Amino acid sequence: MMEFADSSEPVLLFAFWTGVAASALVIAIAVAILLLRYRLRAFTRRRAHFLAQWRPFLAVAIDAVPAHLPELPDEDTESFLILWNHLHQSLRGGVTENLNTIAVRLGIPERALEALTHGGTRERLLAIVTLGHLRERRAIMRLADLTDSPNMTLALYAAKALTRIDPAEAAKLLMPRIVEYRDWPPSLVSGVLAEAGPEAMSLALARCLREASAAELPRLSHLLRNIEPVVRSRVVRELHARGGLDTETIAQCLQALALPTDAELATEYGAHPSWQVRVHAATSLGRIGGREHLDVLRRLLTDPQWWVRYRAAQAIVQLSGLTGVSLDGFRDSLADRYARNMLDHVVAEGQHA
Amino acid sequence: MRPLTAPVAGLPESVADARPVTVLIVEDDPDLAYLLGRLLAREGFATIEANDGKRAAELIEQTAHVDLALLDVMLPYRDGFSLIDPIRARWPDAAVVMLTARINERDIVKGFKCGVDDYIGKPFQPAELIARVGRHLRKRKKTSA
Repeated sequence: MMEFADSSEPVLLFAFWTGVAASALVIAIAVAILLLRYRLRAFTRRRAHFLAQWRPFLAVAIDAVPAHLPELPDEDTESFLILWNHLHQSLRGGVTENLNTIAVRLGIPERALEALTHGGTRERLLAIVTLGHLRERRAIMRLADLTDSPNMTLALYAAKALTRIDPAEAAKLLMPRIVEYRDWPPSLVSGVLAEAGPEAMSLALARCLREASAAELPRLSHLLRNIEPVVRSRVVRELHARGGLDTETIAQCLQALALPTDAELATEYGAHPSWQVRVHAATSLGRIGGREHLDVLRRLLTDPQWWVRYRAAQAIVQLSGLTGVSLDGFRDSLADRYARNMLDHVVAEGQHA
Repeated sequence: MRPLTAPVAGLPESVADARPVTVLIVEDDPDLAYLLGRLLAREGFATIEANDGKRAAELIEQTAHVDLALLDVMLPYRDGFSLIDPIRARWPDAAVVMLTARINERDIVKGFKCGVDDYIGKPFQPAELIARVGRHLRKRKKTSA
């Protein structure tokens, strides 16, 4: 073989050294795979040992905090926090206070605060969630800073932790950011605000929506669902009175209606030029309407747009159950064949669901 | 918090053929499955566990009797709803309680139509879970008496 290495033929030399390089690469990859498997096995063994030790202790926390706790080495902190946070999210009631007491006795708040400042993204995320469950007030300012992070995951989780620790303070800190940060997805923002509950956030959100410009309303109107129903009704009526609302905002307003007294508003939008609005009007009437709104729904059942007819039929089926109106009688009173077909279709869907 | 050490009143310690009250737990989350097993064992119930729908279906065929089935909705291989019919066919008197993070109207109605006796939403209170399990088992005892 070494004859090839000594050969002056360039092609043979090239082939020889290519072979050597390929063999070295294969050996290096094999060694890397073996090392990774060894590390994975060691990690799995360590994790299994950790769970065997800590699961029973944390399960006992359902009743009371154990008198003696094992030491928690630094290298097991992450495993502990994953298990601890998972139990926190799976259970509620007094057991979560017991879990917090255990965490405090193990020095978890200090470790989490340290990770919040000096850890990588993974450590910081875990720390943020932990500090939120612990309701650790020492973390408020650092969490507030993190809500400005360009990493949206860190920012939104920090916002969620803030609402757990101090809902009122979170409302003050988060409202300007919710308005300004257009890259925060509305559904995730809703999830963050839901953490605090409607009572804590309603007034701040209502003010935010009242002050929003026409350009901001389509994005911010998703937040209506996080407002307590009575305040929400007032905000929707004020927006309606403002006039000139775009389709998206009207749709959000109609979806947010929750009180029977708001059904008249939905009725008005049943004649809107946009079919998307009429769809939501029909859906709202099914949710909050009464017997007196069946005529409006009868009209929507003959709408030129299929989706409007479908939602109107669903609303009629919903209301018939509540108002005692005979569906058969209602169906027979329909002059339009397509309206009868749509009602039959929705009734059949309900029977086969 | 009151420790859950006192026995839940009125629960059958054994039925006519002197076997322990048995609960089938079907839950793919290992931490939660461990917790549920411990909670129920502490109340004196025998438990059998499955971590996915396929294993649960096997246990349903192999196990002689179960008094209550505690099922997660979202499971690997088959969801909790698909296990209700086999459970009813095998143990007509067993209570079925769904444990789920997805409490929405459609799933609840679907479950009740399939024969579910109760829903417990996640996150749950351990004391509430034990109380509900106890209530269904007491009802079953009255029905079979």
